[in-house]
Amino acid sequence: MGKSFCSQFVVAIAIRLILINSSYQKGIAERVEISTLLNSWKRVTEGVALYQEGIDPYTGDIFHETPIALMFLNFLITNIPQAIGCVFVFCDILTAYILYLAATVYMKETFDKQKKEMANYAKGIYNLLLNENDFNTAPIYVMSVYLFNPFTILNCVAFTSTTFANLFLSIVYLSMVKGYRICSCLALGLAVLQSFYPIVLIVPVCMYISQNSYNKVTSVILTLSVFVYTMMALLYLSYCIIGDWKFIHSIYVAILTVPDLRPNIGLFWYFFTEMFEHFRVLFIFSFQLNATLLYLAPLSLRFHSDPLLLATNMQQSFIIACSIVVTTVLGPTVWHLWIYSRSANANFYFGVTLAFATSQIFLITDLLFSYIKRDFYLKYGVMDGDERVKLKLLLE
Amino acid sequence: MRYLPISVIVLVFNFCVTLCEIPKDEYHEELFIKPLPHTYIYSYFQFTTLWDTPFHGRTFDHCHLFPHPLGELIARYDVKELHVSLTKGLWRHETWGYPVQEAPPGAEVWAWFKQGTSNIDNKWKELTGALSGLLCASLNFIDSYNSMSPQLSLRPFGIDNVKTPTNSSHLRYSTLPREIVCTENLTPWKKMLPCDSRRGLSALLNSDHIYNTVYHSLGLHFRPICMNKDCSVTGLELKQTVSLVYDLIITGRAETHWSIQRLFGSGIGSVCPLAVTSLIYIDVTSNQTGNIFQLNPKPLDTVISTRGGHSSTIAVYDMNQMGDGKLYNIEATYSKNRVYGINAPPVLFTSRYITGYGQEFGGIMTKIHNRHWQPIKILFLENIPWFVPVYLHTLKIVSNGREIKPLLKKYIPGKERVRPYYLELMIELPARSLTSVSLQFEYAFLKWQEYPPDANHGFYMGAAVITAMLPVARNYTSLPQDGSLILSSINATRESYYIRVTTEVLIISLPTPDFSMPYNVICLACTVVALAFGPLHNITTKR
Repeated sequence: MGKSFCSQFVVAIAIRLILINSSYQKGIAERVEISTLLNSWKRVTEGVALYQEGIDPYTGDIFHETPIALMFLNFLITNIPQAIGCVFVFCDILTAYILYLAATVYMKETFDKQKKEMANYAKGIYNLLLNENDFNTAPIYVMSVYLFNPFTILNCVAFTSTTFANLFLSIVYLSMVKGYRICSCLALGLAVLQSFYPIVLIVPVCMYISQNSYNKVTSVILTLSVFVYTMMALLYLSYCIIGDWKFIHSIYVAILTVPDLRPNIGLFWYFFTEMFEHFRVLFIFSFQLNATLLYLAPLSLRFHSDPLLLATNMQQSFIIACSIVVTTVLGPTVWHLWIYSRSANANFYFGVTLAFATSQIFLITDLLFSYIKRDFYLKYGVMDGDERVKLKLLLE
Repeated sequence: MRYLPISVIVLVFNFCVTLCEIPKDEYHEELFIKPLPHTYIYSYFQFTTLWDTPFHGRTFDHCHLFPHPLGELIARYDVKELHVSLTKGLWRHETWGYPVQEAPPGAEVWAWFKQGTSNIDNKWKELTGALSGLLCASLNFIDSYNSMSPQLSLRPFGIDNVKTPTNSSHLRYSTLPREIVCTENLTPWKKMLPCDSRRGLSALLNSDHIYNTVYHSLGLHFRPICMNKDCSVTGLELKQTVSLVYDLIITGRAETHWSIQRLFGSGIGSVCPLAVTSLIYIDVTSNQTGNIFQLNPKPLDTVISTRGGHSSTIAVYDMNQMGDGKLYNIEATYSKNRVYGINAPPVLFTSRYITGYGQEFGGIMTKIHNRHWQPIKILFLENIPWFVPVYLHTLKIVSNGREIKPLLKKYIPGKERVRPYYLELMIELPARSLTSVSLQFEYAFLKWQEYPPDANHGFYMGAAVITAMLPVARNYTSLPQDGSLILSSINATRESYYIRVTTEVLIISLPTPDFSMPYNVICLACTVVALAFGPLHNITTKR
């Protein structure tokens, strides 16, 4: 196992380094699918250049990184400009390894839980249970999915700050499953500081950490207050670095009000391009609520016992895989037709992003559904024939 | 008590003098004509009002020759100096030399507000709104998102406080490169002249002829000036200018002769009785270098003006001594067909264009030629609208293949829908060099309602401005800073010669959304959101 483990790392590092040093690096870094307003390396370079000129980078609207990131990247760019690629690759590999550790811990927990609850399970579900082999291979799968996911590779090669966001999130997961409160709050704070949306993860963090404590309410309050203090400390640190609160506007207002309508693989850009002016505020509110809070309550209520999910029983994986592959290929093609050949228009690209979003939604719903289905089977057993018709669980 | 009647008389007399004081103002009309290389003729009208009066809030309560509507604006918005130009066409420095008044294509306004003025941004907005009414131009579209306060390029032309010079926070500068200039601007502009367009040189400004030109520019320049040598008495100066460049091939028959009547559609009639001077200058320097022409009637006076090492010969006509009240014409007849020789370009000229292809990434390239044998320091002012987000780290100044560093750099990054990108550089151009200044930008994506009706026509980007003090006065026609009349530019040798060179206006074709799709896009995007909401709701509520 150690062999395959190492070889995976070697191959992943090799792919990244080769791409970083190839002539494709610039092209990849400029793709709209990868570099967005919030993470692009070109904008980081501009922000650092402005900072070095003595101009506050937050007065303009090109730079949207945090002041902490600004200091760090300024250090990278001025002191070790040759090693920037290595830093990004290192972060990415570290993320994969942390994910592996997190998955290992989580699998162990699940395995223990399974042993404990074995008595309650129905008969004939042995192939649904986890075995020793799963216990070993699942973390490896998690890691290789991260290491060889084309989107992660491209993000790393394009030097986007998503790489750092992933690192913070993986630390959040690891410290969450290990029950390290302060560590997870700190990592989550950094992730939230950078892109705001991870704030929804505070709910699973609170829930997971409170799982093993005697007084759940105190634990939740403690976690929340640690998180709030971390956030305050981080914001104040940012303020000290730049000496101004303008960065709040530049980062969070820019995320929440969608002022930049550059296309990306999301849906917001064209939706808000074509929006009628008097409905803009309404839709900004409803979409942002939709993206953050709307699903938080029901999902955390439903899956409170198991904040980290694991998939086994997916139905439509083939369709989803195909549509993700097709849209990934079609996206750049249609972009070229629109922006360079001028023979297509914005609708083509929007169509592709719609399909991409739909397939991702299917992926998530399918995952959740398969989880529920597994739960159901564990309780009532796998049925066949007439019984199955009676107790059919449908995605409707 | 004995002296009371006398003192009363003195008082009354004084009162009468104050009330019935004859305003100390003068009005001058001048026309300067210069044949340019090829088939172009440059004519420049300048109508100058000089007013010997202290400049304060109540100055414009009573105006004599000074246009009262303009005076009211100046008083109301605490303006100290005002420059407006409305231009159609591009002045081609490389072949035509320098004009008397430089102006970029479209509208350009800049104003200095008095020291101690509060709320300048509001006053600027209101001033441009009022000017838009006064000149029937779209100056009301000037707002914070297309205004800036250049710190170096623009200095007050008029008098300034020596101890505490007015700083750039009192300055607002804006251009509207898309502005179309036509008769509706000329008519209100002419109404501000004391003789309107009925008498004097302004009668030559017939809209059906001056809009046949390849370049025309209306100007309005107001500043406080010194009325004597040691500047103990100050006054006000208002210059109303019209610059026209005719292409003889376009104006009619393809012949080389030209005349006042052919250019302006009518001969010269009576003088404006309010004008102190009514002079016509014709630059006949080119008579010495090949294309010999005869002026008819013969000029009363010919002066040789030596300025900055270059001399020019100018024929002067005094309208008061001509015509005897009848219409008359001044014509230039060439003895043989014009020869189109090699043209010697001026010391400094520019060209500007957009680089790159596609609608994702592009660049702005400005090339600056220095043909002088010595290095020249210039100020370079970029005025980039917010929808062209530029990256300062891509700024590159290359001169004769070698990268050079600017001596000074001022930059304020732009902000979407709020503020343009302001970049000002001081560069020393090496001797006999071609320097290129380039910047990279990204094409912005706007909201569908922000595109103009003809979205695929493109978006205009204002001209860059290059300011320099030239050591020589070749091809130089501007007035010296201490002079008010064209007459003062004759034999006006100074240490250096101030020029502003404005570049081309650029058009950027931004990527457009499909304007017919708002409902469809809203419906489709909402459907996908519903697609996410439905199953999640289903899953989370199922038992």
